[in-house]
Amino acid sequence: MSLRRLLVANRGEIAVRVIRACRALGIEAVAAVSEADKGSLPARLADRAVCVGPPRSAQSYLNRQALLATAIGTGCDSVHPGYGFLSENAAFAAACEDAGLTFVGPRSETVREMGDKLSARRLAERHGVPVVPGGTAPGGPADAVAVAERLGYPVLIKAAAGGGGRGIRVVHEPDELPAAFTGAAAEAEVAFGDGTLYVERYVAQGRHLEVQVFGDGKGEVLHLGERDCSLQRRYQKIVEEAPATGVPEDIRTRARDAAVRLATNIGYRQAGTVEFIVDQDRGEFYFLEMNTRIQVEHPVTEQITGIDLVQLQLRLAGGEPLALGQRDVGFAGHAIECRITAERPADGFRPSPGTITGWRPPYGPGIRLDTHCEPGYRVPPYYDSMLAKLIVHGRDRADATARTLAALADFEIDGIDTNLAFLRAVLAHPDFAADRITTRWVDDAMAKGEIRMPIPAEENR
Amino acid sequence: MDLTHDDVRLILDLVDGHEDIEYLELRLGDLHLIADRTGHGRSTPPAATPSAPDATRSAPAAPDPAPPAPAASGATGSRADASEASPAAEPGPPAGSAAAAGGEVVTVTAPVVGVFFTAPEPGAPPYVEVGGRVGEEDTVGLIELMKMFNAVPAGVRGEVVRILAANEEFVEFGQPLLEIRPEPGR
Repeated sequence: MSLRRLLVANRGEIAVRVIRACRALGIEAVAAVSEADKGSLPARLADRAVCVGPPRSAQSYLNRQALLATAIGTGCDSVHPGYGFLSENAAFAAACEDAGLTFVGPRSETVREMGDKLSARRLAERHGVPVVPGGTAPGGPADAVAVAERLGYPVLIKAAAGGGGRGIRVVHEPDELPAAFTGAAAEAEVAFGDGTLYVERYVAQGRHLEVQVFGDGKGEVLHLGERDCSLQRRYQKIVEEAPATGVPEDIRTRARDAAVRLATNIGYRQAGTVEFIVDQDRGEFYFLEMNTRIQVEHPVTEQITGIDLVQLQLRLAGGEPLALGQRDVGFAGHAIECRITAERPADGFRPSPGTITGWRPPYGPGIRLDTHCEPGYRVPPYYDSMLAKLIVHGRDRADATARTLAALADFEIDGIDTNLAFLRAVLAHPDFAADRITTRWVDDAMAKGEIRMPIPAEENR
Repeated sequence: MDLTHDDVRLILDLVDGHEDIEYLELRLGDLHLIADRTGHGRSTPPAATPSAPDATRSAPAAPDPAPPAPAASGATGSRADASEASPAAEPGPPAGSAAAAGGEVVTVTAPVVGVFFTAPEPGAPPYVEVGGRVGEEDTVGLIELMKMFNAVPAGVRGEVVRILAANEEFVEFGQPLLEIRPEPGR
């Protein structure tokens, strides 16, 4: 029994992506939209659009009750949460289960276990997935010093309950530790109501490696290769690639095995991503977290495997067996995704909402654009600033890079500021060509003035 | 001091003309007017408590003066057909409040998404009927959102001229529920 009608509980490009996958499979799509998104592309593409609340996310896209009422009220049998918003909200997944709706994602208990940092780490350790060496410091700064001595400096102090970069301190010297510890504990207490801290080895020169897995919930798990998402700024990914050619093959193989082992052992269902940090200096990789949803950067995996991950999600959710074995998953060429955002890089990446007066996207072999934007679209100020994902496929990394640069050069967006010039400068940098990007690279290169961009006035001719 | 509906419109137009006014709250006797451009409200406890005891939300006495324009205004050109085919794509009156339509009747819209009920319980007489008169704070219907019943206040004093949503109909946020022809209140 296939899915019949699905509520798309998201907005923007991923809503468009899910609706198109529904169409391909003959599933009716109901778009839940906020008041600000009523005339948006997903609202028009869907078989039906329902306004669930005011523009602010808390009252619309994060409003569990309104979304559930809409799914039930419109006769949906399933809900796709996309990414962000409620996609990793265990209570929402559980509420869908209780209401008899198929949540297109893992079981709510999996979402809950992986959403909690410490329990996710424990699960990883239990199933032989390497975690960043570290330990708790129940006795305060003195304990932390002892843990740090064992690990070697620099260390990272972070809130056990944490997330979003709060309650985190990098400590390079033993004398800095007590003050950093006290500060982080206070910050964690305020932010999370829990001052418990954790000390772990700080990976200074790291690459972000992640493995795409897909499970049927009955113990069968495939991997669809890995992605390199090292090009980040303040923990926000900007450019993602597959495969991760900058990471040694033996690490990639071990990371895939570890990801499949973890997912298999927890009976993982649906698409998931196991994230690792690769310590270039030590030649080690460590578990960071598992994302229990489809990810923003899933298209690079689709481009090199030829597998439509969202359709696969919908088929599995509809009760079809996973009609793929690991040997059916092949890899061809190299894919690069650039996140095009409405931001002013020259001005500290300040968001730049407004009306898109001109929209001339690139075309050509190997070019895919996932977007909800069009000429005349008014970028609302309420949500994240992503406008589009430019995904370019080439026969190898050099070819994909050249095609991406050409596509970025052709892409013209008028009326709002974008990061297009920034992306052009980044991809043209010799370090990108040499596949030498670490998670600190953008900040360092910008501090050194190595990423040169034309002033915005030139960009928005 | 009494305010007529036209007075309220005038105040809102004034607020609307001054972009630097983000939030206005006015209390005159038992009249409580909130104009909120931000759309998220303030923590001030609502004064205009809906008459139904199970109400979970009270609508402001006046519409949000600056509802965000639909994202696609001017964007729909080549897609006009698709836009018309989908009721949700049409810019509606501000949600969760009463709004003047054509200067004569006021449309009461759904303050939340959910199932609309015209009567307090099955078999009971409906809250309002066409031709009936309502006061500003009278309940004109209920919307059930996951077992929570939200009273919908008339928002304006007058005569009910049309009921647009059926009993037990699933209504979206901002959907027109009924129309009221305002009458001068006291």
